[in-house]
Amino acid sequence: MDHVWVRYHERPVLEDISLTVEPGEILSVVGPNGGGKTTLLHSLVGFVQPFQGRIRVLGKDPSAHRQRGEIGYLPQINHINRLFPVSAEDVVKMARYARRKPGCRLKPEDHRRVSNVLERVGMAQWKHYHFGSLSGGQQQRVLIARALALDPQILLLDEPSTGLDAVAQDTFYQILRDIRDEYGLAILMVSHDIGTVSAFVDRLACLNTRLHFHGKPKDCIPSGVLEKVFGSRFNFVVHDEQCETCGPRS
Amino acid sequence: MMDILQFSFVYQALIMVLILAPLFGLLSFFIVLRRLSFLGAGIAHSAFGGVALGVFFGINPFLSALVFCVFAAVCMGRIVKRGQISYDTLIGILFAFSMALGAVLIALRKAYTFDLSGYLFGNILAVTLQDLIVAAAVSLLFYLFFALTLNRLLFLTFEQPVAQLSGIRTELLETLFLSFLALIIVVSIKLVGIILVSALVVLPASFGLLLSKRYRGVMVLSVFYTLTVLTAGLAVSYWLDLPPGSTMVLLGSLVYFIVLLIRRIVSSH
Repeated sequence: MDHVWVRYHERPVLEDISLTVEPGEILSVVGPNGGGKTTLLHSLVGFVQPFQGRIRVLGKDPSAHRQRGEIGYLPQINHINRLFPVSAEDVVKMARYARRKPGCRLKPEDHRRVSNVLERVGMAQWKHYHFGSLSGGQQQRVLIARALALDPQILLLDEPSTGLDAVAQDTFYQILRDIRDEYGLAILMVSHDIGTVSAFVDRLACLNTRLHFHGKPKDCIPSGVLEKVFGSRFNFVVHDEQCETCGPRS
Repeated sequence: MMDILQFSFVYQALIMVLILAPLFGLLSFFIVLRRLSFLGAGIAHSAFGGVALGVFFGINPFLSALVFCVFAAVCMGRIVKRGQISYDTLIGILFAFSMALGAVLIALRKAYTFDLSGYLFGNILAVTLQDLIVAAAVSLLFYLFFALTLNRLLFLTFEQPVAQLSGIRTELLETLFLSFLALIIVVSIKLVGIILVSALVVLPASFGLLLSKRYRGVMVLSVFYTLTVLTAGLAVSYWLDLPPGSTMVLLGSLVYFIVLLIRRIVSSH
């Protein structure tokens, strides 16, 4: 993103945003509700057009990726109908069917890919379970598996940790890191939770209409940035490998 | 019992039921799971405006309703897509507009011979051979569309934005789906009636969802339910001399609530 501005009904939602994500990197954009995080993702996938600035995803205009499925996208999970009568495996298969011509059956390699990605996110043993009956963390893992089944080059996640307890968040972020390492994907997620996420990501950006900080989480966030972004005073503690209380992560 | 079948109009109505029931069973799945139940009501009621346009201009009311409903359904999809207005609001407006337009046009035309009750509540005597041919053609087209796009429709219904980013042409798919919905509703109006046809896009999948957590299971149950309820409703309406649409919908609702009650009792034990 290069000096991108987005407006809704003349109200600025994103102002002068410049941001890059490299392959094999996890970038988290944190900020308060209404700070423009989802709009940022929507502009990256082409749902929202910037009125100023330039966006390139994998070197192309975002809309160019729609026919190819090169972007794995996980919107907020709360809009999914939990009564939808599909199994975890059915959900992942949707991505493979999208890659086939209309009316075509899945090929053996599609079935192998579905099994592989479910295995990768640790959901193989739950593949026949009704999607709505899974926990929030398990549902997120199934949706990650579906995104991976598209063979994307970049993953975009909108508030993936919402509704997850601390253990489920840890497991989820660890899976993201494993996926990043194995597939070399660029991963960009937005979150209002600056706590847990900072221990797992490579870079952190703080967004409240404008981008206030853009660097490694271990770098000291300049004083006043969190107050500017979230609008209140913060005591921020990073629990990472150096944390004496937590000890090293396995 | 077989005396019911000695009349050709009953045969024709029965064939119509057998053609239409599976279509509603399948359509209903996508309507209910996308929470668009009110859309069926909106399209069905817009058919009244379409029928009245035909009466007013002296053209076949069926054809005018067909064109009017498909146009209304596709326009609704497009307008909602732009995000300026919600489905609920738009349908609410269209619903009232079409009914008012119909009433005014029929009053202006002074069409005293127009069978208003038949269009509103269904009339098995009104089903003609021509209607059967049109219904059969629509159903063949729908099955072809369904076979080609089932998995895409499933993805679209489950999570539209992700389906779009995964390479599915969601706008085209949605337009085709809404067009088929409008076509099938208009084709079934003579049998079921404008006011009650919307129930047939809601009840079948709601019933199926009570008994299955697999999409294939829900679809099979929806089709089975619709076939049973429409056939039984037709027979009961004939024997008791009742409007067929009302009888079918009453019977269908009754079956739904009984199964819902049984399910509640079973799950509470």
